[in-house]
Amino acid sequence: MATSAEARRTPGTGVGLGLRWEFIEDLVDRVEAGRAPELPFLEVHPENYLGRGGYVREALEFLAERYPILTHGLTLDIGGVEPLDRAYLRALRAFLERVRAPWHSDHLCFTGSHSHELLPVPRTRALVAHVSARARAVEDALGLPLVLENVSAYLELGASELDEPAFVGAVLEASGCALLLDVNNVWVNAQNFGFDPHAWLARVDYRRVRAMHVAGHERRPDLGLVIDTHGAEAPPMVHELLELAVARSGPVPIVLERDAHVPPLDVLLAEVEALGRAYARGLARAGAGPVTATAAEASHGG
Amino acid sequence: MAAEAPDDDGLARAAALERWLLATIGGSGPAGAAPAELVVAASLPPADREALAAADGRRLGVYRALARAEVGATVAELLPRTAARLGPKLAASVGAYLDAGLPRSRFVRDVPFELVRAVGAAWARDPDLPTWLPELARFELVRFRAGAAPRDPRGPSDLGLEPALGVRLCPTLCPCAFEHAVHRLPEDPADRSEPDATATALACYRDADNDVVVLALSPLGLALLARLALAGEPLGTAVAGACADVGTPLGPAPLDELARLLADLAARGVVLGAEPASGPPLAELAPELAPELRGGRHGHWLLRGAGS
Repeated sequence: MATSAEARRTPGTGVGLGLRWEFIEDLVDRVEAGRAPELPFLEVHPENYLGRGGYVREALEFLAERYPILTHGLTLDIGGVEPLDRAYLRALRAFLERVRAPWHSDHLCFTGSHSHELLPVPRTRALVAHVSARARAVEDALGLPLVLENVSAYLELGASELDEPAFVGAVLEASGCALLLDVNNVWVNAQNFGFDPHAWLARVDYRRVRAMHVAGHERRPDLGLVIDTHGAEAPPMVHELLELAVARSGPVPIVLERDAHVPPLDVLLAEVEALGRAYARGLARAGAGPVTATAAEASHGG
Repeated sequence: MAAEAPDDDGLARAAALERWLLATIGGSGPAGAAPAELVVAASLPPADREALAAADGRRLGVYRALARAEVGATVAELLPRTAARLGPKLAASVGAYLDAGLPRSRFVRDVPFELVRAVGAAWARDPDLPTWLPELARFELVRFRAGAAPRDPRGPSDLGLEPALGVRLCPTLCPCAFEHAVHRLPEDPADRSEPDATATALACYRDADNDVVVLALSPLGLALLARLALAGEPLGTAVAGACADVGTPLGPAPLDELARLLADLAARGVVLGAEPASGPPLAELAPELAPELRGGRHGHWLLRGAGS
């Protein structure tokens, strides 16, 4: 575990946890009692802390002394057509400096002002150029690298010129941004749009993968969709995708996200351990030559 | 792919698509036009219109449903007792709020403030809901705000209180007034007690242990804090104005009462000394409340209720 102030800027690799208010007090108590869970980092949503005081803000400041902090935004609107919100970016920069974030991530989506949803962008070449220009402006404003996450989606917005892996790859190449690879989102989209998630993962440039996200989802027969709720344990097929992706990426930070039906901290830590085993299997495969999906994995491919 | 300059036509196309999707979520009017109808109305290129028309109708409306669920969950989290009293009407309230437009704040925690301000008056007119429900909602909002507001990074002032100077107040302080004693209702959302119909003046703030404290105020005390905290008036002006507000001649008795109130609040860490000029109004220190605070003391939404 990193301890020096400078080292805290760089998170450890392995499986860490998205910090949520449902267990923040429990976590603070454990750290105070000298029973801090061994986590390589915590990830937070800056929007939950910007312009805010009180217990949760103080708890974050306390935990940031013990754990490296990764930041994952919700409202950058990188794919939106409205001007970037400079006041937000200034406040965000100050927050990132305070928690010594090594980079900042947000979603490759648009949110508008303000839908509070992560909405799919039209997958066009014009959007590739638009997002790339905005990403560079954001990096200038934040003074940190911007990392973009592939999002879950339920609708293809208009007539696409590129499929999703091509669109994501083009944005990363044009912008120079790294990828926050959400393997659950790959699974969710594979279910919702009928593609093979292994084929999707095979098209990722793993040199650009800075971190990964893992979460659970919910199948909604009434909608004919799988919804990315972050409201359940990550299922076995998501563990399999994680293993496969890690086999290609090598060591990176992996974040367990849980936003609904948040269980007690011990339950989440047990899930972190289970994901850690998938991560270790992936690393073991990393040194064993080219990585392809096994027959068993491919049979879960969607 | 090499970086290219954004293409205006391509961006215009993206903008039209994004406007359409946002319109399915909020601002589609009182009738809440169906997403498929909005596709027809949107100025989309034929290829995009055809792609959307070919999609499963359930997909066109899924973000509308998700956004409504998210807002409803946020209201239930921040205003649990109000949400419990609304029951199934919460969904209709969320729908009415979003049909009028998207949330104005990027912070989801501000959305319940916007929603109550938008639909609280309708709750008061609804014969199936308690008349005091908007007051309970305001109380829950004020209490949340006291717990979450940032403190003044400057800390206490070196200056003692002077009539010509403003008063530096802890930004977590929020004075509020109700026609019912909603602050005495049990915390259990399932409880169905009725509050007493008693004019109630309160001050909420967060103490050094981050606990939210609710103090009962006299009408004169409320008038003073409203002028100091919400309008940022100098102390002397605020004292004279507060006496006028409650119809009490300025004299030893009200001055003594207000002096004791200020001393008590200073001991609690709420009064932080004097400001060299008029104190900054709460709207400046709490921008998330700025829309609610606009209009000054007399029209103040937190004081006068959602219908004002």
